[in-house]
This record gives sequence, C-alpha cells and structure tokens, in this order.
Amino acid sequence: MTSELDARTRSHLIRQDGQEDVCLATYAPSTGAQRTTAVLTDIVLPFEGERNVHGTASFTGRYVVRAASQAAANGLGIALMHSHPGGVGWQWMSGVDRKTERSYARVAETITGYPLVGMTVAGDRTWSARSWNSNRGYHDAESVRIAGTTLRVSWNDALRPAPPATSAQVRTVSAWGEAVQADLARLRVLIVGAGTVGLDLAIRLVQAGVQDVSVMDFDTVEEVNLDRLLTATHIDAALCRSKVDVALRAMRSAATARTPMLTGYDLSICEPQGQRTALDYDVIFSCVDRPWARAVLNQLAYSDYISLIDGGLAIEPFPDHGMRNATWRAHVITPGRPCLQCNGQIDGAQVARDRAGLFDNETYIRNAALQAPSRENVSLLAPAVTASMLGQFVSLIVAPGGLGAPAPLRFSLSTHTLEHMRVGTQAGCTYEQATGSGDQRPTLTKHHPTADAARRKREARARTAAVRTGRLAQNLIDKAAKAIQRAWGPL
Amino acid sequence: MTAETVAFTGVVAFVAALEEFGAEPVVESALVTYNVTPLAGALAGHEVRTGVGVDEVAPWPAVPPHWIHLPTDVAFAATNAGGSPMDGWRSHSRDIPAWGTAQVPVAAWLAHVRGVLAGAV
Repeated sequence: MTSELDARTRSHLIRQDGQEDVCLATYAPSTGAQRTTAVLTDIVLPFEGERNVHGTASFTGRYVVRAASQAAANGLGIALMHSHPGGVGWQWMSGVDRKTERSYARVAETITGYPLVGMTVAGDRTWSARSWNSNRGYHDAESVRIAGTTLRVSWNDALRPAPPATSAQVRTVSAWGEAVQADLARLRVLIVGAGTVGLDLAIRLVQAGVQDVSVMDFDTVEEVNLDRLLTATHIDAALCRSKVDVALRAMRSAATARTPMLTGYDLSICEPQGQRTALDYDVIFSCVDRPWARAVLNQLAYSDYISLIDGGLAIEPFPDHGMRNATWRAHVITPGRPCLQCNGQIDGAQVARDRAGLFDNETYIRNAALQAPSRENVSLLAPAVTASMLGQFVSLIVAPGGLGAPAPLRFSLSTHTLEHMRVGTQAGCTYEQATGSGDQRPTLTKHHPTADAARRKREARARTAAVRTGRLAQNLIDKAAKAIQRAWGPL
Repeated sequence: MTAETVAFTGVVAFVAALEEFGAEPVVESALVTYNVTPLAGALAGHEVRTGVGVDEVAPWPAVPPHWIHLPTDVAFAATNAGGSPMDGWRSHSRDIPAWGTAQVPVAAWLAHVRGVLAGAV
C-alpha cells in the first residue's frame, strides 16, 4: 500500500483508547511470474452501526457485502483489516480472527471473484497479511510493503527470514545496525539494464549483502562496451557473452551473503514476460535509456507500488572537440514523488515512437531526417551516476535522519552544482492517475523485435565452432577457479 | 478468479472517450476510426474520418498513439507516411507534444489530430 493509505488506515485502526478496531479495504491483484500481490487501493470505512468496538471489534455482514459490491464494480477484491494495538512484529491470527476471516472468505470471493485478504496491524506499525481460499484455507503473505518516500517492509520471518550477517559485512552492518541490514538484505532487487551503471550497481548491492539481486538485459557484450563495463573482457566480447552472464559472474564473485540468490533474465522489460518478472521484485533500478523501457518501469512504480530508482548521464560535447558539460540525475519514482513523465525524463510521444519500433527503423529515421540518439558515455563519470542512484536507494530504505528519498537530484559537472529539481505532478498525469491499478494497468508491453533480434544474433554466433570452443574453454577455467575458491574455505 | 475485468484503459477506454466527444468511433480493420472536423486549413469545417491502430491504443491513456491513419485523398505538403491496414488509407507520422499535461487525454488527442489536419492541402 502507499504510505498515505497506511497512515489513513492506521489512524482508524490504532485507537487512542487502546481497543481493537476493524475496517475493509479494496485491492487490485498484481500478478508476477512467481509472486501475487494485493495492491491496496482505498479503505472502505464502516457506516454507523456496521461495526461495534468492545475491547475487540465486530462488524456486520452488510458492511462486508457493501465493500465487496463496491470493489466488484471496479474489478477489485477486498481486504479485511483489524488491529492488535498491543502487538509487536508480524501478527499471527487468534482462533477468533481465523474463524471471522474464514466466515467471510466465500462472501468476498463470490461477490468480487478475488480471494479475501486478511490483514493485521500491530501497535508498532508492523503489518501482516494472508490470502484466503474459501475451500483450501489461507496462506500467509511473505511481506507487506508500504511505498512512499521511504519503503517500509513488514517481513514474515517464517517465510522470509533475515539472512545472517556474515563476517564480510561487519563494516556495512556497523553503518546502520543489524535491524536495518536485516530489512535491506531481504529485499528482492531487480536491475533492468546490465550496462555500465547497472553492472556497477549489481556488484555494489551484492557486496552490501543484499541476498536476492537479479539483472535483466537482452544485450550482448561487444568491444565498444569494454571501456566502461566492469569485469567484461575482450574474451567475453569475442565469445558473444550476454551482458546478463557477465553480470552474474561478477555478482557471484562479489556477493557477501551466505546464500546469494542471483538471477539473470535475458529479457526486455518491454516484453510481457519481462514485466511479469519485474512484478516479483520490491525495488527496481532503471538503468535503461530508451523511453519505452523507462515508461514500463515508471508505470510499475505507481500501478504496482514497486519503488523505482532511475538515473542517467547526459554528456554535451562541443561540435568540434571538448566538452560543454555533463549532468547526471537520480530519482526515486514512487507514490508521493513525481513520475518520470512529470519530471521531464520521458515524453509520451517518444515512448509511442519507441514502442512502434521507429527508433530502430532506418528507413523511417532517414525519411524523418532524425538524428541518431546520442551515444556518448564515459567510464570516468558512470560511477557518479551509480553513486547518485545508490544514495537514493539508501535514502529510500534506510532513511538517514528519518528522512526518506529526496526529490529528483541533478548534478552539473561544469559548475559543480547539485540541484534539487522542483518538479511536481502534472494535473493530467496518466501514470499517477493509475496508482494502484495492478493488473488493470494500461498495456505498455508487447513483442519487442529488437530484443528478439539481439538474442537471435547472439545465438547464431554462439553456434560457430570458434565461439563454442572458446566458451567451453572459458567455462572449464571458471569451474577450476570455483573449485579453488571452495577449497580456500567457507565465508 | 472469475471477476470481469473493468476496462479503464486500452481500446475500450479510448473508444468510450471518443464516444463521449461524439466522434462516432468504430473498430474496423485493426483501426479505431472516428470523425474529426478541422477548424483551419484546406479541410476546415469538413468532417474527416481518421483512425489509429488498435495496437497503438493498447497503452491508452498512459501513452498516446503515434501514427494517424487517413484516406489517401487527405494530403500534406510534407509527411513521413507509412502503410495502413485500411484499403485506400495511409498513416502519417506525427508526435503529439506535451502528453500528460491535459486533464482530459482524449481532448488533447483530438486537438492534436485537428491540428495535423489543419496542415492538409
């Protein structure tokens, strides 16, 4: 849920008199490749006579039917929420809680077509949740996310225990303590775009002990990438290694978690499968420059409350020689902060062109007399972008000084100034108006021919004898290196 | 999961919005066609049937369409034209400026198409 909805719901459920209370909420399902999320959209407060507070709280069936009918009219499900004012941490249901939720599971399912979600908020603001099936009972949620300028996650320790800190992480843990590290290390983090900045981010995140880090990219390592792509070699380019493979190799070497869970997706975020995969994550780093890909990610930040950290580098060379300026920006895209379109980072018309395949259509580009997109990039400046984005990530998760993520930041190299960009949400912002739409979000994804072509080209080259032999030899060397590492001893 | 999906987006939403503006939309030949009357130019005051690809309207209203499909007798002094699934039509490449700043997306879209048609010769 959004932090705004969290505050509103708690102001109803956590009473001054210390008694329990109850209310209903609506949610939109959000279906990932492996995870299903109930994206809460609003609370439905009880009318007079629909609930009774008497130490604990009870409510009428009429209230449930009213909320469920309201939800069904909008294609939503309902959540039954109650408070445990004296509770601390993830709450388990009492017998009465279980009986009450079970008794309304079928009503909710019949009217809305979606499972009843049960939620409990403890006095310390920790949420817990479960999803009911009227025939099979319930299953507990893994986490409850509160998205805003800080990302607050309530964890179900039974399903997603905190990874134990390792000896390699002592300095990191000392920066913010074990509790913060336990939250940070459990986040599911996806990096979309495993290029210069994306790969750097991936290495930093696994070094800091984030256990579950994944990368998504459909591109192949080429010679032209070697002046910036950390750990990539001439051999990788010659053997047509995917950027995802190179990233995973670097991440495995750098990971400090005891059991890192590192995954690579040879996908485009613009493909339906890429988007479904992204819906399994808590935080996404956007390291892509194309408008269509950024639009897809921008959308998920609002429709599905997946916090997005976007950044980029713009270099302005003089026409003949020399550099006029370089700027880099970083933004947390989340409910409560303006979207990428509102802060001028994507333009709807360019998203439409990109989605129509026109940026890769040479005939179209020639006829339209368009300039090829600028490709300047410098290894020496890329770490500044990485640092800006990681600073935003730490602000979002750790909230130093109790402050969360800032408004968009831009650093100008020529004048050495850091600007806090004063941008707000446009009145007609179609992304932020779709906040909480979950699976009802507009369909931005579709078949992505450029991604298909890149994968086919790599596969074709991989079938040549030279590449097959080279890959075999490199894989053997990698295995030998791993064996030596294992023999060296455990972490 | 048996709940009907409520369409606030995509083709259904685009068609509903055009209907509200009296543009008489129809889904035909992989296009949503509708009427627009330009206020200026050679076609000023004449109702013109125009269209956009169904595929391009899928992300509506988050992303606007790009190609404007028109009968071939609607000509422009300069255009970057492409094909159209509708016989006797072709599509014209046009960027809509400042998407996301209008309160009513379909009003912004119709104003854009009207502006494009004002350039017809």
